[in-house]
This record gives sequence, structure tokens and C-alpha cells, in this order.
Amino acid sequence: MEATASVPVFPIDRPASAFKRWQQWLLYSRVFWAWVFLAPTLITLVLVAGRPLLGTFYLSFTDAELLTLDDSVTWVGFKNYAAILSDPDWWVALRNTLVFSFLSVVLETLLGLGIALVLNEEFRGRSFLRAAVLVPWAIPTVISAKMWTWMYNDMYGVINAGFMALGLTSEPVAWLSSPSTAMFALVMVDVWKTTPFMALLILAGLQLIPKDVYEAAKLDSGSPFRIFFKITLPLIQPTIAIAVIFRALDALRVFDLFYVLIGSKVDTGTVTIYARQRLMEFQEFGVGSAASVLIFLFIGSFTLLYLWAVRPQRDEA
Amino acid sequence: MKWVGKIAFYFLVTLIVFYAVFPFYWAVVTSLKNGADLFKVEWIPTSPTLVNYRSILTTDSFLQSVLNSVLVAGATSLFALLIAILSSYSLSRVRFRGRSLVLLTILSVSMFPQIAVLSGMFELIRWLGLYNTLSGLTFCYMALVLPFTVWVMRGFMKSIPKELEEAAILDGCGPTRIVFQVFFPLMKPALATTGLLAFIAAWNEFLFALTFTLSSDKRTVPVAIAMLSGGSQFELPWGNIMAASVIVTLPLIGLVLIFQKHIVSGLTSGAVKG
Amino acid sequence: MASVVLRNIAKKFGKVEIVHDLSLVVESNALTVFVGPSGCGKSTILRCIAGLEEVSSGDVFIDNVRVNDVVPFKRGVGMVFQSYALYPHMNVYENMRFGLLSLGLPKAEIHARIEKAAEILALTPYLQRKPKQLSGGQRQRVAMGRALVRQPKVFLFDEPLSNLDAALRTKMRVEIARLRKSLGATAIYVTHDQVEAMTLADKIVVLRAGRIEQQGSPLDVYHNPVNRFVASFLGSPAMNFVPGRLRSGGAKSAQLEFQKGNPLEFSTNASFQSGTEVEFGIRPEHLTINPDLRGQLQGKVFAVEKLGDQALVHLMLDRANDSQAETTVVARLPWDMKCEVDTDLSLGFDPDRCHLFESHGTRLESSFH
Repeated sequence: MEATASVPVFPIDRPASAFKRWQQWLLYSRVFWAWVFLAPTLITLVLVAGRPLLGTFYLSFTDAELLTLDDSVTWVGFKNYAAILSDPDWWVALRNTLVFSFLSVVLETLLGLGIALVLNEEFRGRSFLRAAVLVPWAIPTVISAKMWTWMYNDMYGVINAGFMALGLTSEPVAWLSSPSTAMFALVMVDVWKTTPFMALLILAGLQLIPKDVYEAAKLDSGSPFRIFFKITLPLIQPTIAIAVIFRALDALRVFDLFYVLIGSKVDTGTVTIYARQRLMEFQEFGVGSAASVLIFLFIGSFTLLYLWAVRPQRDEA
Repeated sequence: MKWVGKIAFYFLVTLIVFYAVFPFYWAVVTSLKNGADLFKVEWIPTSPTLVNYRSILTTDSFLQSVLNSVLVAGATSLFALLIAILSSYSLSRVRFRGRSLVLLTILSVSMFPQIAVLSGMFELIRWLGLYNTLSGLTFCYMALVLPFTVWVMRGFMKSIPKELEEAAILDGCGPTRIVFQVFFPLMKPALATTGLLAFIAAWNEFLFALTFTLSSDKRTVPVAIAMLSGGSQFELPWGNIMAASVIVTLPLIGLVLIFQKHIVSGLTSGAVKG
Repeated sequence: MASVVLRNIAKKFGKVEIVHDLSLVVESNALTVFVGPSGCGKSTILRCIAGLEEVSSGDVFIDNVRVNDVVPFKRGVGMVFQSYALYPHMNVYENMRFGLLSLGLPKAEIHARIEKAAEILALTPYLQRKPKQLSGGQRQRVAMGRALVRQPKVFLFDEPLSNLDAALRTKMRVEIARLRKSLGATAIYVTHDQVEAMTLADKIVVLRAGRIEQQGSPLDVYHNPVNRFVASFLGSPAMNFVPGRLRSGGAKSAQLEFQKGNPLEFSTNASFQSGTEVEFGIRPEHLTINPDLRGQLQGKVFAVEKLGDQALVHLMLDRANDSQAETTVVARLPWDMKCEVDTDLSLGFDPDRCHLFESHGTRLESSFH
């Protein structure tokens, strides 16, 4: 092309001095500053997460006890793990955790979806409803657990009063005493506390659906049920999947709720209750750490599932 | 036909509001009752009294725990914000080798079950001499709060248009000036939201607070309320417990309602958009 | 005199090369427009000049100095962005001052420059306002002011008008042209809008897929496009292309067949094989209803668009045989043109207005007689 020929040839200046280039790099290099800015976060995470995690792993292979923690501890190999895996209480706790997580996540998802659909409508009082829904989320878990303990009270609780008034039960039930009703009661509290989160996540997904998709669907098919199953559900399904895994991870590590509502009882407890009990109450640091590691590995596999689920959006920037 | 649907819809709305708000309402009702009234089920207390509030507000250990919670949650969210605003810039605005790895690490730390670090953390803060101190609690709350703070802030920072940063580059800003002179002022609402989320997370935390404090003067609110007890197991002071619950919950509900729009976007940017 | 010189620059993002071995001279005191469809690399080249992207290879010179290793704000460029990119938390005055502070100028000088820029841009009453209190056009002017106060060697405009509505766009277009002329500044202007390109440019550079297709004055490029792409890109409605076939007609002359009968005679220095498939291009405004002209196109009207000042008549050409693909042309005719859909129409044209394109797109040097 003739344009190329007419480009004049300039002498290329002597490169700037090494010091000057270094100075300029220091001031403007984005990658250099990116790492400088990251450093505090990374150092903090190594200190508060990495180091303790390694500590737990290490302790799980020793005979450490709370009182002898500062003295030397002895390496015992997989003995602690063997002790836990042969402890029937561990398996009860694991079963409880799974049942609890499954029930509460399923109920939360259904309820959350319902509330999200209501919140996605335009109506008077919508912002009031959204505010009301946020209330359970804002209440600390321990406090909501206390509130529900009082409501579940077998003698004076409002729930028994309500159920009896409605004729659902003929006499007061001690909800938190027997394992079967206790699980149900705990799931109810968790559902109450975390459904708002679920609803808001799903609502965010709903609001990403362009309005004209709905308008087109309404013209094509009158039935709201068809629109829901053919349009809405497929479009928010990825959001729901992520929200479910997110919540499941949370439910699997539940602690406060069980601790406050029923205390450290293993027959109705979760794996976290179990591990903490071995650690702090029985003061068996080795065994407790081994239980913690097992929980970590168990939840870790769910985490990988989550990371896989968010993978496509992960790094589009 | 149309108004039937409308009535049904509003019935549903009322049901949801009732479900969401009733337990808190019941706590308020209970907190206003005293003596034998406590054990009667009534929608509105017949003889409301503030005696529970007076009693809880004159309990030194409760006031101390509120102060502890404010200090710990405040310090945690402040440190987390300071650290996170820097790293979220790197993670949202700069392409560099290893960025995905750092992102994944941060995301997986935010998924850690707390119990997994409990014994290691116990050993560590004992060794640091921070056991049963507020600084010790702040220290371990960073593990809880920092990852999601970075994540949420990154979401906000990604939404700042690229051209604004480029205008700043042409105006002679290096990365430090971009962050502090251009982005920081724009991030104020985001900082408030993220700070509030961090504050709430630290304020509500129970497992660490229960395990890493020993004396009642170092307890945070959740532990203090969990430990409130009367003479025996069967004589829990429900009036006092509910009064304390209402006192520490009302400010939170207020803040959440004021910031609700921002909170929703903060929460969802953390989870939905990735 | 050359102000910006690009020598053999290439830009890769990862493994994808966006700009291929491109060389270009941008003259001083003139406005050069980079125009092309989206993805042609025009913005990337602009950003390489600004220093917002580093070139993967090649050299960038501004005022005879190689600036590859110079940080953006020391290159002496002022840039106006598509979204204005004003700092929302600063008022107009502070927006213009922000870059000057980095230059380390004395306070009085900074103040004087801002006052002067505000006066030129009629922004003096708005100096204390925040960007969100300004209209789109005012924000646009602030963005220009921010570039102006730096007294850059070259102004860079990255699609600055595409966020404005049609009426305001026309107004700002005129204003930018007037302002640039009065400042006598060097400017590079990136746009995908060919009207902006035609009206603003002293020189147009048409880009496609990271390569320069043609450069020159707007009228030259419009009337003498070097290939089918440039011909089709400039002009609205776009140039019509009609397929045809060449027949040798002795030394340096040939015949073009495109419909039944009346082949066009023309002369050319190019050598070709008889029967070569070609296309000839004719702009809508060069089609008339004059039966005396040598070129004639027969067809059936299938749409008429009355624009008030003119009528766009769409014609489906009669095919030479059934195997020929359907071809439509559009003609710009007087507004009071009487013509019905589905009627036959014959359009005349002056063969000298035609361009012949070979099948791979380059223009065949030719003259009709």
C-alpha cells in the first residue's frame, strides 16, 4: 500500500536510564500495584485461615488435649480418625446434619421461590413486603433461636396455644424434647431465618429476565402456569442452583441454632456440635480436630460443586 | 374474577408478612410483660411494663457485652474494608497472571466451615496471647468476614465504567491515585453496604465468640444472651431475654431497612453474579 | 507535517491479532477520522496512541518522539470518551483541574486555563455544577474541556457523539468542527457513523479487520473507492451492486453484460479473461429516470419510501435468465416522483459514475465511453 512507503523514519531515542524506567514502572505498573494491593488480603488470609487450618490438620494426627496443648504432643497417625469413624454418635450426628440440611434447603427453596414471585409483581405495598421479609435475616441467629425456644415452650409457648386453638393438637407438645419433633422444630426455625436470603437471591435472578420476554409470552400463551414452567423456571434455574448450593453449604455447618435450642445433645446434634463437644467439652483436641477435618473435607466437596457452578461467570472481567 | 384474584394475592402477602414478622412481634410482646402475664398467651399485653428493659439495662454484664460487640464488629468491619478496597481493585480491574487462582482461593475460604479452623485457631490465639481478648475475636473474625467483603466490593468495583479509570490514567493517575482519589469517593455507598454486611456478620457470630472467650466481661451479645439464665434451668427469665433481644435487634433491623436496596444488591453480587 | 506516526504497529489480545502491521501518518492541524464497522480495530488503534493499550509490535511517534514507553499522560494527548467519563464526585471546575494537578502547573496557570476553556465552551455558568446536574450536551462539552485545558499535541475522540440523541448529535458535530478549526488543533476521531466521518474529516481512514482499506479526503474516498468494501461502507443508502460478466472487445476495451441486451462498452488497461464475473456499483443518487442515458436498468418496483425531500425507490431487477440470483437496487429520486409498487420501471445512469469490482472486491481501473 502506498501509505506504508510514505511513513518517515525517525531515529529511535536512546532508552531512558535504568533508574528512570524503574521509577516509572514503580509509579504506573498496574500489575506491580495489583500485587501490592493484594498483599494485605493474602497475608491476612494466610494468618487467619491458612495457619489455623494447617493447625487443625496437624492436631488431628496427635493425642493433644486441651490441658496439654502447650506441652509436647505425640503423633498418633490415623488413630483419631479411626476413633471417630467407629463412634456411632458421629454417624447419628452426620445423619442429623444431612436430614436437617436437606429438609431446610428444600423448604427454603420452595418458600423462597414463592416469595420471590410475589415480590416480583408490581403491587401497592411491595416495598413494605420486602422490608418485612428482611426482618428475620437481620435478627442474629442466637436471638431468633431464643425467640423460637420461647415460642416452642411446652407449657406457655404460643405455638402450642395456636395449634390447640386450631385443633391441630389436643394437648401441648414438648417440641424440643424428643428427637423426631426437635428436628422438625429446628428445620422450621432455620427456614424462617434463611428464606429471606433465598427469596432475595431468586428475586435478583427473576429481575434479570427482560420484561419483554414476559410480554411476548403473555401474548403467546394465556396460562400463568405455563409461563412459569416454560419461561420463568428455565431462566432462573441457574440462579436457583447457585442459591441452593450456597445455602446447603451454610446449613451443613449449622451450629448456633442447635446449640441454643437443644444444647450439646448428640442424639439430636449436628457434626459441628459433635466436633465442638469433643474439642471443648471432652477436651480431646486430637479427636475433635479429626472430626473437624472430616467436616472440612465433606463440605469441601460441596464447595467444589459450588465453584463449578459459578465457573462460567467467574472471570469475565 | 379479577377481584377474587386480587384478594387472594393480598391474603398471600399478608400471610408472608405475618410469617416473617410474627416471631419478632412476639418477642416484643413478651418483653413488655412481667410476672404471671408472661405465661398468658395474648396478642397485646394487657398491662404492658418496661420493667424488663429497666432490669436488663441496669445489668452491667449485658451493657459490657453490647460494648464488646460494638467494638469487635466495628473493628472487624473497618479492617476488612480497608484491606478489601485495595485487593478488590486488583481483582476487578487488573489482568495479571494468577488472578483466577487468587479469586478461587478467596471464594473457597469464604466457604470454609468455621469448625475446621476452630482447634487450629484456638491453639494460634493462645500462642499469640489473645485468648479471651476482644482483639483475639477481631483477629479470627477476619477469617469470617474478609473473603466475602473482598468478593462483594469486587462486584461493586467491577460496575464502575472502564472509561472512568482510563480518563484518570490520562489525567496522570497511577493505581494508588485511581483507588483513593477516583474510586474511593464513588464507592462510598458500596463501602457503607459492605461495611454493614461485615458488621452484621461479626455482630451475629456465635461459635468463635463462645469458644474464644472465657470471662463474662469479654462476652459478645449473642453469647451473653445465650447464657442469660435464672435460678435454674426451668426458670429462664424470658422477659429479660426478650427485652435484651429486642434491644440488640432493633438497631440492626433499622439499619437493614434503611440500606435494604444496597444490601440486596450487595448480597446478590456476592452470590448470583459471581 | 506529521503529528502522529504509526509504524508497522500490531496489537494482539492473547492470541488474537486485532491490528495487523499497520502504518499511518496523521497530519497536524487536521482532523483525521478512523471509520469502519465495529471490530475493525479503530478504537484499539486510538487507545494505542493514547497509551491505554500497549502495541504488541511496531512504533508510535507523537511529534517525532517515540512514545511506546511513555506513560499515557506524558504523551501529550487529550481524550474524549464515548461515555464522557466525567468524575461524578467532582464539579466541572474540579473535573478540568484534576489532570492539570498531575502536570504540576502553577495555580494561577491552572485557573487561567480552566477559565479560558470554560469560556470557549460556554461552560462558565456551570463551573460549580456536578456532572449529573448537566445535560448530555453540556457533559460532552466538559469532556472536551478536560482535554482542552491540557493543551495536548493531539486530541483523541472515541465515538464522542454516540451517546447523544439525533438532534443533539448534529448540533455537537457542527460545534466540534467549528471548535477544532478555531483551535487549529490536530485531532483523531473514531466513529462508526459515516455521516460524522464525511462531515468532520479532513482525511478519512477506512478500516476493516485491523487493516487500512483506504485513506484520503472524504470526497475522494467517496467518489473513488478502491474496493467494494469502501464503496459499500460510505454512503446511505449504500451503493448498489449489480452482477455482470465481461466480454473482451479488442485491445484495451471490453464489454460489460449485466442484463439482457445493451452491454456497456468501456476501456481498461487491466487484463482479464472473457467471461469473468464482476459487479458494477452505482450510487442511489446516480440513478435517474432519464431514458436517454446510456446505462439502463429494467425492473419492477417493489417498495417506495417517501422521505419528504426525496423518494427512495427499490427496484427488483429483471433477470437475464432464471439461474441468475435476484438483485435489488435503490434509487434516490425526486420526492414528487410518481411511481407505483409492482409496476415496471427503467432507471438510467451515466456509465462514468459506475465502478467495476472484481469478484474479490478490488476495483477494476476502467473508463466507460
